Parts: sequence; structure tokens; C-alpha cells
Amino acid sequence: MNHINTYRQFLLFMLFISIGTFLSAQNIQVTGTVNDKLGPMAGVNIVLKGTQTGTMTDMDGKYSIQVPPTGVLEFTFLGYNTHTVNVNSRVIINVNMEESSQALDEVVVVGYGSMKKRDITGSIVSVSDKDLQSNEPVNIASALQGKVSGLDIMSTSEPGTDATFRIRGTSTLSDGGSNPLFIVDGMEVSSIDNINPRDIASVEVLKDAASAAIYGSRSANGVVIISTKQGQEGKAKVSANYSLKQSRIGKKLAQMSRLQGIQYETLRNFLNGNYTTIANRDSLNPSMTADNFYQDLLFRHAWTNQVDVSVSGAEKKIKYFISAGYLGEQGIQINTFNKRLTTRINADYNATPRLTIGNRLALTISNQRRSTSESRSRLLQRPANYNVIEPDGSYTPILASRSNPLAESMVGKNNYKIYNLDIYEFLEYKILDELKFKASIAGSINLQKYQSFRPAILDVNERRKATNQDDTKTSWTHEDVLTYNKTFNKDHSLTVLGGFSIQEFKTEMTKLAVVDNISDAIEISNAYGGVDMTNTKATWTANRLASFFGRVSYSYKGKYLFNSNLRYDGSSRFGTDKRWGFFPSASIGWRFSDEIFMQWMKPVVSDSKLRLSYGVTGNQVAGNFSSLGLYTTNFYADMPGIYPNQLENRNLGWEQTKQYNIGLDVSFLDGRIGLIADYYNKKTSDVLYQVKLPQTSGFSSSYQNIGDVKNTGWEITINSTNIDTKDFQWSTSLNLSFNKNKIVSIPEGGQQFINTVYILDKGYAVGTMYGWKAKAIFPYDESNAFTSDWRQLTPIFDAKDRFTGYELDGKAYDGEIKQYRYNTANGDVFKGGDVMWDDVNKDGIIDAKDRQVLGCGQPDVIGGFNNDFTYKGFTLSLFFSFALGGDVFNAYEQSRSEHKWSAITRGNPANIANSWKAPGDIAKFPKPNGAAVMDNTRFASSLWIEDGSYIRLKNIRLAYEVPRNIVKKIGLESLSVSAMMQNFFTWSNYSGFDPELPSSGFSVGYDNNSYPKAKDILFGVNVNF
Amino acid sequence: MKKIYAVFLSALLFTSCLNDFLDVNPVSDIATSTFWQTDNDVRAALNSIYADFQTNYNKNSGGNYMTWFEMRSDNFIGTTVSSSMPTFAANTNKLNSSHASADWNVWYKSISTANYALYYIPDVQGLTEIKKNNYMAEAYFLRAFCYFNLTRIWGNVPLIEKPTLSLTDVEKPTQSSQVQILELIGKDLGEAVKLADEGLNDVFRFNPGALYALYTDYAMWMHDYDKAILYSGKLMDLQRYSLVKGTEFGQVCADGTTSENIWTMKWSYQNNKQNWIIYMMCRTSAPQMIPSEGVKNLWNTEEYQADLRRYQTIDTTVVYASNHISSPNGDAAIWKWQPGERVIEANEKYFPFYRYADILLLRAEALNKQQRQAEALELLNMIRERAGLSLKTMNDFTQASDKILAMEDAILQERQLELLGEGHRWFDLIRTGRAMKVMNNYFENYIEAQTSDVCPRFTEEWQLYWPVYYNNILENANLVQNGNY
Repeated sequence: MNHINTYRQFLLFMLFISIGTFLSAQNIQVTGTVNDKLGPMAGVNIVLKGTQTGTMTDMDGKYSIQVPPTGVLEFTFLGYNTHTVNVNSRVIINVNMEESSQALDEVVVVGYGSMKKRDITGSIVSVSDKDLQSNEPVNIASALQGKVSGLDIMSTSEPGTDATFRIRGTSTLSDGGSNPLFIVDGMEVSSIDNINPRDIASVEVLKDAASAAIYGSRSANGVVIISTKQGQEGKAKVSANYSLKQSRIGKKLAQMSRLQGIQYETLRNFLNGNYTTIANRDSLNPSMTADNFYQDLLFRHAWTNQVDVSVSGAEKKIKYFISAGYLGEQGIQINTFNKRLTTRINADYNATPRLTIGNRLALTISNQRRSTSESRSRLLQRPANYNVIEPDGSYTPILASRSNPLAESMVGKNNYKIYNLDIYEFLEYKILDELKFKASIAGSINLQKYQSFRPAILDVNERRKATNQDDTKTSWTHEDVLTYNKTFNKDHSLTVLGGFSIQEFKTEMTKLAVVDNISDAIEISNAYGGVDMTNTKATWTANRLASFFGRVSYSYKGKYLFNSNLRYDGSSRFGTDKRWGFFPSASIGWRFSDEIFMQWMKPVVSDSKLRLSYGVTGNQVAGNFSSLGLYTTNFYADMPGIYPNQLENRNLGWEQTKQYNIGLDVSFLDGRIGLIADYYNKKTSDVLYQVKLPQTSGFSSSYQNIGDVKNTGWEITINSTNIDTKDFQWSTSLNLSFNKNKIVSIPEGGQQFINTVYILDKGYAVGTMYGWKAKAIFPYDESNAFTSDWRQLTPIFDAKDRFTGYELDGKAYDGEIKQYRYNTANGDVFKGGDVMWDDVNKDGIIDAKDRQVLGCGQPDVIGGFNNDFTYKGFTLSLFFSFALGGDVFNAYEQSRSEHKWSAITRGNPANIANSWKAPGDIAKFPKPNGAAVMDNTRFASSLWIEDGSYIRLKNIRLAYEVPRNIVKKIGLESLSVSAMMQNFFTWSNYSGFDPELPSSGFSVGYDNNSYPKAKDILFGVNVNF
Repeated sequence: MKKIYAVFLSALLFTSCLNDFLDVNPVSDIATSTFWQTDNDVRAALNSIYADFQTNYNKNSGGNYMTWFEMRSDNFIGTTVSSSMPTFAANTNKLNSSHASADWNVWYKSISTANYALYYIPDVQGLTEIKKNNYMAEAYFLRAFCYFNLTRIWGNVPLIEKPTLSLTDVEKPTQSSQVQILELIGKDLGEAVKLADEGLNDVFRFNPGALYALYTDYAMWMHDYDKAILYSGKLMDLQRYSLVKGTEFGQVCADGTTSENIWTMKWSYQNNKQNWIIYMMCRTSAPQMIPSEGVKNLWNTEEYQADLRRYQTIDTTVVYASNHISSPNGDAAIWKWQPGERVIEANEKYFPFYRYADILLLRAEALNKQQRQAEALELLNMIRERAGLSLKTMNDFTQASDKILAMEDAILQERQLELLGEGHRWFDLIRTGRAMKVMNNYFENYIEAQTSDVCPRFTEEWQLYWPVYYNNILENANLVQNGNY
């Protein structure tokens, strides 16, 4: 018997070696069902350990396999823990699979390669496919918002418009120079709006210099690496998604009605000494008989459809992922939309065991109509009694210079057609098992066709205008990378990487601008009367980059980690002597939980790692030819003019950011609670700054390497599984980012004001609002009275309202009386209803010297807070995002509250109600009179600054994963449905549409007629088969 | 590790080859290295300065033109107080350094281009001597025109004679005195007279007539009456100019290319966008300035009622109410650039810098000052005759205690109506020493009599000039604020 057994085993062994899958009759047949908590699982791999014998579960989760009774079975499924079972002669083995929660084994994409999350020493955040898809996003900005600490995304609800991304604050002083670098499948892209978020497998955000430095001269603002999906081992998987969204305006603002408008006009005229004329009371004028609430006319319930289908899979030699998606998005403002078609083919082929070739091919076509800024500029200030539609059905033309917002929205063109093609091809050859060579070529074409047409009705002079503009951006990148990866003596693992790349970016623009088109019927630059020659032109601009880069990573038992990234970059943008730059970085990690002396805390702290990094990164945001002396054109009397407009600066070079980062990763209770904390200090020097020049030189500014900006901050992420039972799970994640920004130095006299109210100067944070502070409104003419040390006196009136004298602290005062004057020592005296400004220098003259810091647009803390509750197949998620401590400058409120322009500029009825109207009024706003001699409603004033803090319940999501035993009856693999409410609840004191405002450059928190925020109801279905 | 060394060694080797790859030169932008080569380059560079003038006058929605040239005089009432277009403040002597039109920078942009031209033209190949000289004359002329306006508006201003070719040339100059500026203008005009080609004529750009007109204007400011007589005489000797008929008076501004126009700014709607100056002065709702009651009343006097220029300059049907200063009548526009029309924007607009009537009257003033009153009277009567007015005789002046002053008053009054809105009145008042008296009288008997407003009086010379824009001082701490602004 023993002998036979031995013989059998020997035979078995031989069979396995020679034919692998052929099985001996001596084996037993094992059957069973594989389940997870949702029911039977199809496609689970079952392998007899140590052999190639294997099978897969069917649609019902059932399997059957011939194995020796002493064998060991391994059940594997992606995203689940591998389950190992000893057969022990059993013939029925049922298995329950568990989803893997062990985050540390995840692989994270880093520049030009990948690393185990466990071995990361820098500050990198990885967002998985599942997290990205959770709120059915239409673009990457909405998919990422609030999910990454240190990444601030500010977006609008307008279809097709870019969001603002900031990683660890604003580091530079050039407009648009603080955008992170976006890398999609190894290729730099300028816009990420062309990517279908459903095609994304993961997004990695490289925040610290040590991680980003491998991208050298463009990485100072951090790097966002986006990887698209690849096929997974197994049979073809078809996945389909559909979502339907209804959006509506989240908040409406007060607008004066017809009656309120006439009352306002009467009051304003009265205060001006004009007691008779009311321009808009004429009830017989057919153009002035309406009572419109413009927000109801301009905003609607908008519907968005999003459909995506993908097919993916992999067999021995090939991996594939093909997808197509369509987004039909309506904006909440009438006649705005974005229709986008995205397609993608990702394929990898193992041509020989050592050679892999592959490509990534993505084509996006989109068609958009965006709102014109004019369409909203009159939204709240055009008199309500002005018509929008005439009795004959046509649109009302411009009345008293007030354009018709409905006509602005409905007629004409402001359309964009965008065609984007990205191609990436690579070959990877294994020279040795440890040594890989990868070469790739990537190319991108982005063609944006802009069409603007303004029909006669939109122009004061009834002159039509049309513009057609084509922007073609092309770029290519070639890269060669050698990677050496080896583990010595089990404990020492080493990765060395070296590479070279060359890149070119080119933009060509052709623009045709015409006036006096013959007809409104031809909405294009055709059949016109004249050409706008200064705007009809073609331009060409390009830059190139050549780079060498390398990385060394070393790990001893995963306990001591070292990583260094180096890059040497040459850019065409700078003078010959300054074009090459070197960007080194290093980081170390220490997994102290693996130390023997730390074993005592193992029961609580399962894993902990300390990270330290330092690095230098760069920024080359200056224009393509910014070191040259250049000329530009203007136009006079049938002839172009050419004049110098850029001063030569041969010494122009890189901007450098030095950053260190200290981080701590701790995971408690076997991964139930995870904490990631980072502190960083980021100092940018040689800032590429558009330095103002004394314009007597003939030039207003020039790019120079000057000034320093500092950002310091904390980032904390906590993930916790609060309850984890078989049927019910509750998990929470919270991320917080605190950033402090400061301009450390700026050239002498370099103080600048952006949008009048934002100061750029030494010692101030970017986004600091600077101007005059309104302390109160003088109730009486006599209230403008102060003692010689500027204490305000109280005027006393008798029973008949006659002024009798002053009191100070309840006692009659008969000393010297001083008064505030406007602008000069002999300027006008402030009176009742004027603003009492803060006289900073105590000289009684309210002038430019009395300006002070009024607020700052940058929030103190931003973050996200998510709660997932799962019960069987149901998941309820509540996702909050918040930004606290930032201010908003409400420029639109200022423009409609100025009073001085015209009686028909309607203000905010709430503000008018709270304005000074008669002597004695204690008011918040000054008197609404037209002759605004004292400049009471000046722009740079604290009257328009509000707290922009908000907490938003961004998403309430209820999802249901239909049990598999039900799903399989209709022939599907999985089916889930979800319903969401997005942006439904916002807690904020801000009076405008929305405190979340995308900004370009320095005007942080600047609300000028922004697109209102939408709140959405969304329904989505996901099917896999 | 060796491989790393290899990579970085090759990096160093390839660097030089890669430098060729990294040489990317502009295609659609013009660089200094490729400019200033041909006739066309010079023409385009000088042409850009005229475009600057358009930008400059049109800036702040036409506010620059209105507040620099007209609003400070008694010709118009300003109706707005915004710091970007302070027509009321300019009119009532309440300017301050935050008013956007206090910014002189666009003038310096023009001066910079003129300095480039003066620097580069001598080396441009393929130009005939005559042409080269004429371009030099044009550059001198344009620079003189810029400084003449700068110093008349601000008094003391920085004097920049050299081009700023690279960042190292950038300086923070202090202001030079008005005397020094005027000296440079005289030198530039002298050079231009030597170099100009008398045969050329282009009413929209530099031409000998324009040069002599500017020289005459400059000489009058300098009280150099001999030079004024000399250059106005040279202008007449060109025999190109004559007065248009009184019934066609409107054409001198609306057309701008008549026999009377010496130098005109041409405006093209499609290429230069909206002309705010004309739009703001002519529009019916919320006009930025309306003719003062004094001007309206003068035209209503018996002497001037028959004036052919009157209805071609202003809307005569408008009646002023007692509160017309605080609540201006929207119809009270000056419309000489498009008589009888309001907001219609024609494709082409014209804005005369100099025309023959202006120079004739300046010459009359100069002759009067040089005791050649008969000749002066003849010129004055040319203008009055064209306007359909009765002719003055010597008897009208002989009774006066000061004959010269009386005739000067008559000429200035004629200039006020003839050139209303064309930007001459304020400088006429300054150079004849009348500004303070006329304006203080205007405040007392008009503005303050009809409103509750209190206007600071003109008492010191600095008040005649604009403050330096606060931002210009921020850019250059070496600048000094004018007077007590």
C-alpha cells in the first residue's frame, strides 16, 4: 500500500511536470461554491498549490476540480484576500472570500515607474478607481475634490470650464504659474478635461519635492499622475454605466422688483436734490412694463446624461481595455451645454517573453456653448421693469446701455469645438530579469475651434461681430528609461532607474475677427463688412525641453528606506547661459514598528513609518520667448504699427522651490485605523515675477528672477473602520490641510495691486485684500466730530431735533473739535450718511495712507470628511467638503451698489434697506446718492468683504449592489444602482451665489459675477457582464 | 551605480548637442535682431505712435481726453465723479492722485518708441537720404508733441532722451523742470524743421504743415511771438490750406480731411474699437460732460446767434434747467464730430489735432502782441466771416484802455467757440495768464451759485497742473508729487 502510494505520488509528480493540467484518476473530485457577502462569485481562480492545475468558478460561483486528497487549494480574486484551504479528503469545500483591506501591499505609480505603497518615503496620495467613481463624476476635478489632503480644487458648475488645482498653496507670483503638472499615462497634458473619469484606474498626487523632483523644472507645484485602466486577467469583462442628473441653481439672490426699483430711484434722486424726475415710471412705455425676476428667466432645471461602456480583459499574451463614453451635459444657465464623446484603446502585447509592446490611444470630441460674461452682468442690476421680449415676440434690444440678459443667453454663438487625440506607444524589453529597458513615444494634438457671433440685437450700435479662432496645440515626448531592480540576500532590495527625454510643445493660433456681418443668419466670420485687423492674425509659439533623470531606491527589510530622485533639465525658454538646471532630492523612511524594541506596541500599532524628505524642484512658467526683446503690433489709419513691448533679459532662468517634508504613517489595530500626517516647508526663490518697471522706460513690466514665497503647512488624513461586522460596516475618513502662505521678499517698489484690492507685497499672503475699513456710517452731519486725540464725540439734540452740543463719555464737551476730511487737508468734510473710514495714521485725512489689510482669500483649512455605511448590499455615503477661514471679495455686489453711475443701476434690495436714508439712521451702508463725491462705495473697501467659510454636504449617496444570485438569473455578473444628492446643503454666511470660487493667480476668493453653483439629483446604474 | 555614472556622463556629453535642439526662435513675434532693417520697419514703428495717441486719448472711456484737455476749462460741466473718469473733479479743481487719468505712462510709451526710432533709423539700410531725414524729423516731431502735452498737463515731468534697450538701461528718473522740457521740445522741433521733406503731405501723420502748426503752438506757449509769426507764415506759404465754407463747418471734425485740416487722428471702428471720446460727449444718456451755460449763453447773444458754427457744434434745442449741473440734461451733447447724430458709430471717425482756423487765430494773437493789430484783425475777421458773423473793426478795440488786451480777449473768445471741444481752451487760458481768474469766476458765479458744492480756488501755479498718479510714484520713488496734491 505504501509502495503504491509512493508510486502514485511519483506518477502524479511526473504528470504535473510533463502535461500540467492532465489529471490522474486517483485524484478526488472536489466541488463547492465560492461566496462573498453579496452571494456567489464568478471568475474566482482556484489553483492546486504548487502546480498549474486550476479552474475558475462559474456564474453560480460553483467549481469542480480534481485534486489529490492531501492537496492545498488557493482561491484568488482581485481585490480579495487569497484564501488557502487544505483539502483533507473533503469532496465539498465552500469558501467565503473576504475583500482585502491591506492597503500597504498596494502599488503606487510614481514618476517613470511604480513602488509599493509600503515603501513610499515622500508624500504621495493615491486615489483608487473606486473612490474616483463614487460620485459619478463628469470630470477629474469633480472626482478628486475633497479626497486628497493638500490638494485644493475650486470648480464651477459651468459645463466644460476648467477647475483650479492647487497643491500645497500658491508658490509663485506669476499668473497661472501655480498649476500642478498633469501626467496622463506618462505624457504631460495641459488640460485634463478631455479625459473620461471612468477610464481612470488611479490618480496619484505627488506633493513633496522629493517625489516630484523627478519631473524637475516643472514640478514645483506638485504632480498629478493619472493612469488609465488596463485589462485584467480573465475573460472579457463588459462594464456599462449610465447616469442621469438633474441640476438646478443652488441659491437665488435678491433682486429689486419693479416697485422696489422705482422707490430706489426716488430715494436716490431725492438725496441728490432732484425731486421730480423718475426715469422709469413711464407706465405707457411698452419697453418698461415688465416685472422680471431675471434668475428665473436665466436658470433652469438642467439634465445631464452620461453613458459609458468598456470591454476589458487579458489572456496570456495580450491585455486590452476599450471604452467609449458620451456625456450630454446641460448647464443650469439656459443655452449652455457640453457634449463630449470619449474613446480609448489601451492594449499591451507580450510579443516575446522578454518584449512587451503597447499603446494608449484616446480621442475626445466635445462641443460646448458657454455663457458670455455679458449674459450675467446685468442679471441683478437691470431694472425689473425693462422688458426682455417685445410684444411682437422679438428680443428687446439694449435699453439705456443695459443689455438684455435673455437675448445675451439665447442668441449668437459662444461655442467651442474641441478635438483631442493622445497617442502613447511603448516597448519594454527585459535585458536581464532584473534589468528592463523601456522606450516610448507620445504625441498629442488638441484643436480648439472657437466661434463667437454677436447679432445686431446685442450691440448698442446694432453692429454685428464675429470671431473664429483655431488653437492647435501639438506636443510630443520621447523617453528612454532603464530600470534595474534586484533583491539581494532577501533583505536588501535596490532599484536604480536612469532615463532621458526630449519634449516639444507648440501652439499655433489663427484668428479671424470681423465686424458688420451682413445678416444674423450667417453666424460665422463670413459675409462681413470689415475686418478687425489687430485681431485677425496667426501666431506660433513653441518650447522644448531636454532632460536626464534618475532614481535610486533602497530598502532594507522594508524597515530602512532610502529614495533619491535627480533631474537635469534644459529648456528653450531661457537664455543660453541659464537654460540648464539640476533638481536633486532625497528621502528616507524608517518603519520603526518593525524594530524589536517597538514590538511591545504591536497589539495596538500594527505598522508605523516615519518619513523625511528634502528636494529642489523648478518652475519655468515664463512665456516661451520671455528672455528676448520683442515687438508687437497695433493699428493706425490703414496701416499696422510695430512697437517694442518686451525688454530683453538674457539672465532669465529657473524658479527654484526647496521643500522639506516630515511625515508619519501609523496604522492601528490591524489597519482598522490609519493616520497619515505631514508637515512641509516649501520655499520658492528666484521667483519668475513680472516686475513692474517705471513706465517712463516705455515698458510696464519684465520677467525677472526675483522674490521669495514661502508655504508651510500640515496635512492630516485619518481613515477608520468604526464598525466591521459581517453585515454592517461603518468607515470614516477625514482629511485636513492647513497652509500658510507668505511673500517673503519682493523687489523694492514691487508692490502691486491686482483687481484693485489684492495686494502683492512683502510680508503679505497671496490673496490678501487691502483697502479702507468702514467702521460705521455717520448718523448725523454733526457725528463727524472728534477730540484732538481722535475720540468720537456724541452730538446732542434737543426735543425739536436741534443740535445743541457735544458730549464725551456722557459729559458735555467744549474742547477742540476735529473732523475727517476726504483725500486732502482741505478736502470735503464727511457728513451724515457718509462712511466713517478707519483713519489709520490719525491725521484726519482719509487717503491712500489709511489702507490696511481687510482679509485674505486663502482659507485657513480645507478638507473632506466622508462616512460610508454598508449594510449587506446597501452603502450610504455622506461626503462633506469644507474650506474655513477664507474671505470673499464680492465685486459684483460692489458694482451694483455704487449708486454713482446711474439711477437705473439697481442695487441689492437688502443693502438698500440697510442704507442711511435720513439723519439719525444707524446703517450698515452709506446713503444711496448719485453724486458720490466722498467715494463712499469705493472698490477697495471692507463693505464688500465677507466671510467665505463653508461646509458643504457635497454628496449624499445611496448605492445598492444587487445580490449575485438575483443578478445571475438575468445573465449578469454584477449590477449596482445608486442615487445621489450633490451640493444640496451648504452652510455658509456668504451672501453671493457660492463661496467656492475658481481663481486664476492672485485674486483668490474674487466673486465677479460667477456662474452659480448647481445642486444635483443623480441616478446611476452600473452593469457588468 | 556604474550605469548611473554612464547616464550622467552621457548627459554632459549630449548637453552641447541638445543646446541646438533647445534653440527655438520666435516665428510670429518680431525680435530686435530682425527689426529695424527696412523702410517698412521704420514706417510701422513710427505709425505705432499714432496708434498710441488713440489709445492714450481714448483711455478710461475717453476720460483722458476729456479731463486733460477740456474739463479743466470753463467750456464744459463734468457730470461724473468716478476716479476713472473724474470729469466733475477736473472741472471743479478737485483732482487727486488716484484719478486714473493722472497716469502719464502712455505718453512715455510713445516717447520710448520715438527714442528707439531716433537710435535705429541712422543705421537702416536702403533708405534715401531725404527719406531717412524725413523719418528722423517725424520722430523728433512726435517726441516734441508728447513732451509738449506732458508739460502742459503736468508741468515738471521726467525727461527721457535715450531708448531703453535692455533691462540694464531701466532707470528711475526724477522730474525735470518745465523749462528743461520746453527747451528739449524747442530743440526737437528745430531738428525736425531742418530734416523735414516739405513736399510730403499726409493729413493723418507727420507732414510739414503739422510741424509748423506744432511749432506755432509751442512758440505761443513760450510767448515767442516772432517764432509764432515765422512758423505760421511758413505754414501759410505751403499754400495747402484754406477755410471751408461756414455751412460746411461741421466737416472739419466730421470728415477731418478738408482743406482746413492740417493734422487729424483717424479712427476706424473695426480696427481701433469704439471711440469713447466722441461716444461719451455725444451720447444722450448719462453724458460725461455738457457745454457750460456760459458757452450756451454766449451763443445766444445777439452777436453770435447767427453763428453758422453753433448748430453744427451743439444741440441748440436743449433748454437748461436750474439744476442742470447736478442733474444734467442728457440731450445737451456737443456733437461736432457727428453733427445732428447721437450714438451712431460710423466706421470712420476723425479727431483734428490741428486745423487752419486754429493756426490763423494763434497768428492773430501773435501779431496783436507784436503791435500788428491791423493784420491780426484781418485774420480774426477771416474766421468771423466764415462763421457768418459781423466783422470787427478797429473801432471796437480803440476805445479800450488796453487795446492789445481787448483784442486778445476777442481772439480768445473766438477761439473758444471755434475750437469748442477740440482741446485748446484750457491751455489758451494758462498761456495767456487768464486761467485762475476765469476759473475762480466760473466757480463763484456758476457752479457754487447753482449747487451747494464748494470749489477750491486757484491760487497757486501748481494747481494748474495735474497731480502725479500715485501708482507712478509707487513704481518710481524718485518722483515728487506736484504741489500740495
